[in-house]
Amino acid sequence: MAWRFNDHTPVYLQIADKLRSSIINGEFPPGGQIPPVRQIAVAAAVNPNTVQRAVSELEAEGLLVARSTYGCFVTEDSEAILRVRRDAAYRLVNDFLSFAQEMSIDSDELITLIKEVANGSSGMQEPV
Amino acid sequence: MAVLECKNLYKSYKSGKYVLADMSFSVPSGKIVGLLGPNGCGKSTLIKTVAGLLVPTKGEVFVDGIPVGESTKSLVSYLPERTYFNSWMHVDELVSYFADFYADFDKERAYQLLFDLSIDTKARLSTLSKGTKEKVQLILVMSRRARLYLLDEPIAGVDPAAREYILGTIVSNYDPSSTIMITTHLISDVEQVLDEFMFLGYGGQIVMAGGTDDVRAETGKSLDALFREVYRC
Amino acid sequence: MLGKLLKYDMKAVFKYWWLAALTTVLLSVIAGVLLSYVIEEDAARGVLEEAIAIVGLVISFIGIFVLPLVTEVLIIVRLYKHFFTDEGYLTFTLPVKKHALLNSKLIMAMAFQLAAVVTVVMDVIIILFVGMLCDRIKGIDNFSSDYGEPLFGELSADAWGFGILYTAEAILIGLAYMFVLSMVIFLCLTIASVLTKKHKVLVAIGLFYGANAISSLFTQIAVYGTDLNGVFMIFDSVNNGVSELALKWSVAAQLLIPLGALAAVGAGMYALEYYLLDRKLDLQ
Repeated sequence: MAWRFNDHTPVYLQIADKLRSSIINGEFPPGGQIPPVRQIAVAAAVNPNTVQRAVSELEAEGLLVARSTYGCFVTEDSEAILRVRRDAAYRLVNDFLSFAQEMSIDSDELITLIKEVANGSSGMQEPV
Repeated sequence: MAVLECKNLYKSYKSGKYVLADMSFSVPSGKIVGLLGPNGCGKSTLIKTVAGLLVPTKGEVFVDGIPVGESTKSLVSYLPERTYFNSWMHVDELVSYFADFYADFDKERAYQLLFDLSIDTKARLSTLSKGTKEKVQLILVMSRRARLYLLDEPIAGVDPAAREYILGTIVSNYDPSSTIMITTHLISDVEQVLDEFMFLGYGGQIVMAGGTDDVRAETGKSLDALFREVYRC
Repeated sequence: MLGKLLKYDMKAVFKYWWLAALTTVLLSVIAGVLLSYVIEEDAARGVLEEAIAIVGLVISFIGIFVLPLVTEVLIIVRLYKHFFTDEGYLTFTLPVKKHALLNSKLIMAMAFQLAAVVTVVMDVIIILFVGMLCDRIKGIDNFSSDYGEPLFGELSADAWGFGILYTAEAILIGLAYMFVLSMVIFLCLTIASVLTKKHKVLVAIGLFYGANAISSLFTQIAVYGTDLNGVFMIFDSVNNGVSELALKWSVAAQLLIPLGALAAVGAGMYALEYYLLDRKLDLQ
């Protein structure tokens, strides 16, 4: 199944995002090997050069380590991974808050709502 | 050494109007390039000229530094818009036909791909559905280890599932020593597969060219959106 | 590469041709039987049986002598499909010289035309043979006396010497004629394809009739021009007091004229055909 991409961001950055997520959530464990560029390219139906660019991006970030003929591996540095995870979570919350702010929902209301939805309880109506 | 090079290429038909005018460009190996433009702007004409089916009115075309002719045909693998095989052959006879004439034809790969798609190799070509015929043609073209692949509208008139298969086959055929040139007007489907693009204009000129991801980086727009802008009616 | 192209061209035509050829063989057997039946004198048979037999004979003869025409049609279809339909996209992107493509078609065409002629000749022999066989079975001898002897008698006189020379020249002229005929057909199809996109077949047929008309004109002129009377003078040589040997040589020499003319015309057509295929064919 070809991966879906948005229209605004360069594809290689979106692929880098997807790979980063897989590293953060442990799908590609620390020290483990990621699939070869060609394999990812075929699965995603994306140009292999673009995938390579994404991989190079993550190498520059220190998340991936290229070991010549053996392929590409996730870093063993769990600290680095945690750091990236935190950054991603931070960005997520940031975007979320900005969006909420546009709708004039303040942070306290947000925190309450988050707890309610997460616990599955509401007395509140779900959106129609 | 550029895989494909055009120097001041002109092509006009009997009516006298130039379909290609003063076209000059060069494509290195290891790229998947999109030749884009509205219908009738000369994409197919350019492809056919490189394939050796049409003779330039003026100018030169080189594949791997060799002028287009008998020897470049063994370097170029061409997929036309239409199905081009005679109907009395069976699929396996057609595979042998390709193997007979093209030294770079990979018979095993062809049979593997045919098997993957559950195509009966003993079937007569005339009994296959249009979609299956197109897939067979694609498989034969992509089973060659050519320097330059020319795919003329490979996904037009094909259902979405088949499109994915075709794009996947194109990507898996990618090789750093060869180049794939695709013409299409279905840009959003093909965009993520392209390294670079060339927009062709009605005057037979290259209107714009560049890297596909650079378009997004620089403008925040997809290639499809850019295309609509450039060719706005 | 020529060998490979030729292999596929021959296969493509032979696929249908063998059936046509075999049919003529069967028809000639039937014709032989019917002929023996019809020419039997003093036989008690009704008008209806005789009519049926004659109709059967006519149909058989037509079937046999239509083989060259069927052969031409098969050749034309193969050339047309391979060059001038969508299949042309495959043909003209093959890594072969255009000369090879053309030569393959030409050799294939001449091979099958020759095969058709040989088959028809064989069919005639089969008719005679079967006819004689039937006669033997019935205990009569019409065939040999009425047809066999006169035919074979003429042929065996002067079988060596000039007979062989004339036969050889006749074969060469036949081949040259086939060459020219093939080239005419090829050119008609090619010119039609270069000129129009939609009505290629109609235009080709029109061109063919035009070519026929022109060639008839030339033949008329040629007949008046050369002295073919020399052929008939052999049998009168005694009366004219001219040496028979000299006459025979002069006929042999005169036969070279049509041979040369055909070869030259054919070569010119070949050059034109190649030029058209190389430079003028814009596939759509």
